[in-house]
Amino acid sequence: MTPFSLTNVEHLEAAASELDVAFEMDEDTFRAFYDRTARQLWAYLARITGDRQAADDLLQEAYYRLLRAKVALTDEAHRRHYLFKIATNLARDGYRRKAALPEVAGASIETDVRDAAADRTEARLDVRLAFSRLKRRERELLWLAYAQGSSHEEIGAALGLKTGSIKPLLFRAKHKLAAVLRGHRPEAGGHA
Amino acid sequence: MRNAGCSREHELLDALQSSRWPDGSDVSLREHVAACASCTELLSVVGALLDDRQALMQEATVPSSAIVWWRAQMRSRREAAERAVQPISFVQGIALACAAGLLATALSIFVPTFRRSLSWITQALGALSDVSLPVVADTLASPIVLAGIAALGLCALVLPVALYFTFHED
Repeated sequence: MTPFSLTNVEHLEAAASELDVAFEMDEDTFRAFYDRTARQLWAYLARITGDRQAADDLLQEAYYRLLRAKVALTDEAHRRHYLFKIATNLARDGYRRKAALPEVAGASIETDVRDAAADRTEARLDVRLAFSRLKRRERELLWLAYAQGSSHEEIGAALGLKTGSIKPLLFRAKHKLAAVLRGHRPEAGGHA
Repeated sequence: MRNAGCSREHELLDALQSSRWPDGSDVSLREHVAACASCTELLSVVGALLDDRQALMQEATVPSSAIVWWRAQMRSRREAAERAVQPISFVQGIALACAAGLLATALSIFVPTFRRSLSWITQALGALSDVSLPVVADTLASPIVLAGIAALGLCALVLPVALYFTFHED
């Protein structure tokens, strides 16, 4: 009789643990980082994709890729920006795959309308509908700059754009979003 | 359209993102925003986005960090295990293709029915010999050579399938 016994699962886990599972972060560091950033990232993904289900999927994929990244992430800010860069690329890949389906944009808007109706918040409905009318890069730019508070350097790194081009692109995107918002809500009064 | 915007936009943006707008910001900034079209536009856009972000973050039902860490560990181990068995699967694929080739060769040599089924090659070669390559056509008309061709053809069919199942990702 052996002094202890392992279940099948424990046997499998013990065998698997011998394989390569090297991550760039230890568990405590990862979990703390995840707790600070997961909701921010989900909000970003939900808004740039217009699809909450996609945001759920992309969120976990983004963190997995971050863990597997062979990049020296020096500090919290660097890690966060790298995470958003990964998420942006994942969302773009998904966007390209969906681009062949002409009904996607309409379906996204309808989903947004239903979600927003449930929220009963007119302003949020405006943002969702307005975002669905912007180009993918405009959504990314606006969210990172204004909702996430990223600097132009950070946005450039995340979106693969030159830092010098961020300002004019952002200006045009902001102007366009404001126009779309005014179209939805003529009496738009701001954030006071 | 000018792409510069207003010089005080960064002050307004900072006040909005740090939740100091409007009560915690300077009176001069508030007066400026009230009179500046560019800042008013920025206020409406950033205000809407920040409200939306806040609501989305509250609604988000993200899995716990422990779950995400555990799934990442499991996935990483599974991928490592798959990488470990890839060479074995590759060799198995090669062996399967070789076995299929040998089987086709044996059938071509020892089973007349199978050999007859390859008669279309002989017929095609007949047409080829009429053109200008009688030596090649005669050589290829041999049952052994036909068997080899059939074996190679089967290998060519089986090998890509085996490689696909070796390297494809679910």
